[in-house]
Amino acid sequence: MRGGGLCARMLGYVGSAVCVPVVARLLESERTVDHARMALDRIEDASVDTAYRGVLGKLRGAAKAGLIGSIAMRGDREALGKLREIAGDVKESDVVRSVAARAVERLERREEVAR
Amino acid sequence: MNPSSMNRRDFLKKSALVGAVAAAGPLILPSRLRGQTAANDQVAVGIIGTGSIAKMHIDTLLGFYDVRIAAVCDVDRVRREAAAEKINAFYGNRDCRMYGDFRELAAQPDLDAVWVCTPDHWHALAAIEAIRNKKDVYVEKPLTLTIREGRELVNAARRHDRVVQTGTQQRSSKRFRDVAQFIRNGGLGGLERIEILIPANNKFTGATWVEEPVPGGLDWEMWLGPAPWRPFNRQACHYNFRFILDFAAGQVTNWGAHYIDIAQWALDADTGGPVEVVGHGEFPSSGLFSTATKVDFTCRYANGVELRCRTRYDGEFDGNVRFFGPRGWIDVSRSNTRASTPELLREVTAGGGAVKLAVSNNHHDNFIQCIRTRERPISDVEIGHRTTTVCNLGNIAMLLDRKLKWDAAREEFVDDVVANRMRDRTMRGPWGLV
Repeated sequence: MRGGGLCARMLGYVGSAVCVPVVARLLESERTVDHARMALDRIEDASVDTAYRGVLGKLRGAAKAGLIGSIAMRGDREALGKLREIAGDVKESDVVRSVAARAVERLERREEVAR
Repeated sequence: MNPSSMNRRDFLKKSALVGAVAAAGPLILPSRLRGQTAANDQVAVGIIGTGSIAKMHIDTLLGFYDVRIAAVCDVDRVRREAAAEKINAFYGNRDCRMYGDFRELAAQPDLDAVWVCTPDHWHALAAIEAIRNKKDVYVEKPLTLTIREGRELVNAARRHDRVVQTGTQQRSSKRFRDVAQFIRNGGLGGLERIEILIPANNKFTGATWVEEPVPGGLDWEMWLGPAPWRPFNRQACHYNFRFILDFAAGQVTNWGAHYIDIAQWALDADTGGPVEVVGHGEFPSSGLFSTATKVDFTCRYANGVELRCRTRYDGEFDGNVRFFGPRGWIDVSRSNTRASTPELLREVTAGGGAVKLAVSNNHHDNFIQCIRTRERPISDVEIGHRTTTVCNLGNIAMLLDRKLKWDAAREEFVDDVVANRMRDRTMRGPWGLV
């Protein structure tokens, strides 16, 4: 994974929408999701947001909390509905629910500013 | 009122005198003159991170009669216990609470303020967590690891109306204030350029390192926190974390944060920054350490002044900042103030001029007083963020080895996608700025 980490870091600097379909596959594994986010987080393309929303239901625990953090920092308001559900889902861990609630708060604040 | 002019020993001496007078007849004394301040008048403090810098803070805070260190937190049990032991021994009790998770400490309702003394990669997260819990916060320099973290921290402080002091304590030194004020008053007949020297970087860089067993009592996973995972090595941990880019930015932020801060002060750039930066550093190509071994970058401000920051090779373990103008130069460091002529030096200490900078002669006391008055401290979080940003601009310019244009109002590089991506980092789950 050290090589993977280096690749992810470099893609984080120079990656574009072209690499999204390949890297997005790594989002589904808790072993590789952090590196995938490292590569994708700063690519300004809607395909990243779509990919992030697409795996929200497939991750748990720390990996899911990290992904929610990325979604919030990217300002993806289309994720608000899913995040509200997660924030209120008692089956989720405390950490995940807490991060989801903060993400909702942040995105709603952005929504107010946008109005 | 704290030990800017009176330390705890002096205070206790005076208390003894007052006690002798009181014994002669009835006398109503304010609680703070009874040898101890009433518990509810004390600022209750928690310390997050108990390493070498925290030890200095603890020593200082123990001298404040209206501060009580109530809790410490460290992911290293040995350090945590040593810090609590020292505090308990001083107070003569066993009251200092210990935590391994900063979130638990930040949630303690009896704490008024928190000192963030962790490695740099934790600064923003620990400070923001404390702010969310309505604590005022003293954050060691550099304020944050990335530019975006700095802005998030400023926003959190403002949103929750918290007092946040940056640990750039040279702002509370008359020596540095005199020079900054002299420059602001045009003492050099104008300002042409600024030269900053900072100590040499990591002592060794090419070492082949191997994974080592995690020492007993150290929660390595928590120590790493938001940073990319790596196996433990003692040289990557306490103190030397400063020389690994995942955790810090080397001497650029270690010493640069202090001296660039004075330059920003003198430039009246506390809410702004340069418009351009170019750097040519040298970075290790192998080994454990990754921060620049040779620092050399130059920022240009909108008024045309250039600030050059580079590594010194004279063995001096201090920085210095030298201001050049038509009338000569002024140089200030922690050990002395020098000038190109005796006349300039006399003028600096005379302190004339219309511009009078805010006065703080004790960085800790300034923060404690601001907790009470709700005023902004001498090294307010925005100031710390702007100074740290200049450090980060230098690092990014050196890493990219090209000239970058910076929009300080928008806090973004102009037409440079890669540089803009380097303003931020991805955090390992579950950590994040949200």
